[in-house]
Amino acid sequence: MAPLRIHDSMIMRSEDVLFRALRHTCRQWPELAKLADLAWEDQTRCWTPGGVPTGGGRDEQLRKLRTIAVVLGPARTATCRVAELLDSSSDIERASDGISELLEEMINLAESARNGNLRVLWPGLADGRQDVQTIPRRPPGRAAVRLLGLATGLLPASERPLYQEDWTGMLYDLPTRRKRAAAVLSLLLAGAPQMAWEMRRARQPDA
Amino acid sequence: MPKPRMTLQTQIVLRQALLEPTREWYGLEMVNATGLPTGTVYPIVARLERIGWFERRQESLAEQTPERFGRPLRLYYKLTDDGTQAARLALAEAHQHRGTDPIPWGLLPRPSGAT
Repeated sequence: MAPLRIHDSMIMRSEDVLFRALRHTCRQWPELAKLADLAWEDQTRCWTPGGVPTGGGRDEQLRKLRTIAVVLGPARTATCRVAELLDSSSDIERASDGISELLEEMINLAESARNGNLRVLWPGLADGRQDVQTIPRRPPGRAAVRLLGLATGLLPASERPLYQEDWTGMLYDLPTRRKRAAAVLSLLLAGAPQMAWEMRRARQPDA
Repeated sequence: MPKPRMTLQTQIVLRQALLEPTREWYGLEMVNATGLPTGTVYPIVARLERIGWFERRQESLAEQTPERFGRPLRLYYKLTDDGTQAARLALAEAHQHRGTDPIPWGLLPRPSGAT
């Protein structure tokens, strides 16, 4: 039974890869996040501590899994990774009858994703993208706000509140943490010192 | 009206603003449109504002759209009338100089027959 355990663990690993990617992607869309969480719960319920799948709710779980994976473009990458894992051990399907259905669905899903034959279930999310303006943003982190405070501290006192507000608002609009960090550092190291110089120079009387 | 140093980045910002001279835009919009870093765009805008080419105003609460409600207020910039004319002239001048400036580092082709 040792090979079966290995195969099971491989499948669980591949599912883990898929679900992690899905959950990460789904954070942008609350309705999909809810669906992903439900699928994740079902999925974890399908596996006993010994690694043997139970029969309950598999169809429903597969439906949810497929819905999420097909709808989200970024999930293609994850499903391709799943397919790579599964292709490397073609005898998985023979190893366990209990998981063959699940495996077949996952392989079909991965293949359809790889070939790009994705059905458009929800038009707005067909290509995995969403209008930047409609993605709910998290408020900027404390560190970013403090760094912005440092940057605005260089400016003349009358300008500080205006720019503090403008730049904090900018952090709300930037989609990724990397972009927010780049913007804050760019302002702190290059933008604010130059602006401070410009603004103080503007106040000096002309010679 | 004083004229800013027409660096390449300044020219890029001015060109972008001149695409729609009457339109108001905010800092991040200009950053995204020009592809320049935040720390480059804001000082240029501040410089152009200081010399009167741009005017600035803060967004009011009434202007906030529902999805932006409660967010920090933006600063909006717009070319002034004088600034529009001056920017066009400055860009034309910069473009004109581009072809006539001496090529540095002795890269100018030597006339034929020169040793």
